[in-house]
Amino acid sequence: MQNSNLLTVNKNKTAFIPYLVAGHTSNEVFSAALKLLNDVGADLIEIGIPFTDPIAEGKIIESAHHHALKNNFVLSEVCKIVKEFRTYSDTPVIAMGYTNSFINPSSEYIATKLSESGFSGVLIVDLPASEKSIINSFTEKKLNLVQLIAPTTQLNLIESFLENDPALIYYITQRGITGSTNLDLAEISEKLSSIKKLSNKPVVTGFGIKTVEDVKNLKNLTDGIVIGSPIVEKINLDSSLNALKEYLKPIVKAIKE
Amino acid sequence: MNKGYFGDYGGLFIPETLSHALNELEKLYVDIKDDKDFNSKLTEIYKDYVGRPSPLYFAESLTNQLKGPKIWFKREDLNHTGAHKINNTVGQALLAKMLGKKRIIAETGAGQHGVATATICAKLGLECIVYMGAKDIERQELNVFKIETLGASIVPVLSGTATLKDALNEAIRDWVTNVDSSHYIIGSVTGPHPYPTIVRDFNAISGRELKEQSLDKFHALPDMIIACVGGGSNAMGVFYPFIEDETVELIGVEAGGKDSSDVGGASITDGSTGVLHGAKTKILQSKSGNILETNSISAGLDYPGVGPEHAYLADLKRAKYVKIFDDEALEAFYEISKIEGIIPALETAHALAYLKKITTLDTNKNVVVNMSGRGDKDLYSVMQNAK
Repeated sequence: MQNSNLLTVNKNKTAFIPYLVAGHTSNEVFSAALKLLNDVGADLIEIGIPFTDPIAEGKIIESAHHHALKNNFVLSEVCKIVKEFRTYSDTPVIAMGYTNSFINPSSEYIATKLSESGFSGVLIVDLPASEKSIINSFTEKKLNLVQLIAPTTQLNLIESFLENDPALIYYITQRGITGSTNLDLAEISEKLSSIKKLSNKPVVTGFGIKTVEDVKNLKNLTDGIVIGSPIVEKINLDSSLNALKEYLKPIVKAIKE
Repeated sequence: MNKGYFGDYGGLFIPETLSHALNELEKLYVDIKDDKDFNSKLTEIYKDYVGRPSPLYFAESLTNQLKGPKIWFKREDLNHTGAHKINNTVGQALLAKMLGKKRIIAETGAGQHGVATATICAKLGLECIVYMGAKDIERQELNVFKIETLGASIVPVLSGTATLKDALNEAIRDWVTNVDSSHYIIGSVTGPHPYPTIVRDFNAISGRELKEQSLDKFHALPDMIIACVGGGSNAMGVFYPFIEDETVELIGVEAGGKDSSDVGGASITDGSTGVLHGAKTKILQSKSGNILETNSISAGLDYPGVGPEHAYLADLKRAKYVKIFDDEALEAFYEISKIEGIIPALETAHALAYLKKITTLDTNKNVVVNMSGRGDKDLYSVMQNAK
């Protein structure tokens, strides 16, 4: 069994890690969706911090970012919702987004704010492991780091990534943006086992995982499965969250069984 | 210091999927930048295909009219395809070939970079995909047709502001997806390391030529060089060889938009430090770090960021950055056309408009304006504007 500050994983259990966008489609819907994801069995929840230029996102998540910004998204509202969620559940939540949302007005300010509201970590998509001073602002506030590894990453670099002591490794399943569809299982399997040999951190996988079949194909290769675009799409479709509930039932069953 | 920094600015703020490709590009560039074969090939293309060296022209009528310093134009507008942009694209297309990449991605604002990329791709037999904001497609119809005529495909970008910023986002998304087969030719001294350095170096041909030409024509270095700054590649190219020459005043002219209440596009004059499109630099942003919707009559200056090396030169006070509003640029566009018989690009017209603010300089001083591009592409939108 492996314990990390964000996730407890073992051979017989694959973690379910849903992603949703803060403030999408309204603070009320976002707050209700957060609770729903928790209730259906999320082990860790990623909250996307809306940004005008989310370059790693596909259309679905990008438009959710823009939608939240149009609704005058402010970080303090999300912090309030997470703080309230902390009284409801212990499931850890991390903030996922882009560097510029995490350094304005300063990284120390954002780190303090996230930490005080009960976030457990950050995943900053475009922040390289070498940017130590920004990274330190977050670790000093006891926020855990998530290290991204791509199919193109040269694995001899992993050692330098581990210097920052990330709590999790997040393997990006494909060359592409969120919501794409071309999972190459052979490559994923090979890369995941190489990463496992080089590190004892939990390794979760995401990008382009949508269906029960995707989940069944991946669950034995990875410590956790991240699902984003389909969740955001369902929230967008139906603010009563019934569509999301229906979508998640078989997915979570497939991950957990 | 971290890799790829100019003082506090620059770096490599990119999704991890791209970091290997950028490392490979950096390695190759370090290997070949002083390579004889590479440089002789590049020089040959510059000479016979681009039409370099571009002349240094004495703008006599304008000088007489303004009654200030002597005004010279560095004629990058006479380059093949009508702007400085081709200096960079030919260099990068050669790099792409050496990397074994046959598919080229580019973004474009005014369309000049798209045309310059499509042009060299046609010559070298490379597939070319150009991302362009839907709003820019509308105001740069002629360049859209040119790009397609050259055999490249244009992908309209509808998201966000539907201008250069979002075209860049889409180009990066394409690159993340097709990184193994594709090279991204970024159009300015922006983006992650090593792009700001590579694009600067390929554009610096204009600054090196200017140095020789000014010694030849007026037996001294220029007292002042003026260039427009959007992302800042023409300015960086012409400034760079003069950075050590402290007597040469360097002026970057940013777009102010309609008036002082407008967001404009003046990232150094009005912006603050942030991270956009892979680099830490001066950007136009909200308090929470979201990128503002910029506005300029000139599509090429309608961008909320600027090359990190410009931000550095501004901090050092080695270069001075000022802004010019739409109507001042338009006025210069008409005036220079009438008095010199040269129709400048609207981007360049911003640099030209600044000449009116320096008429008190001594008449024996030599001021060079980098004529970054010609105005053919803008005629349609200026015409619409006049109606």
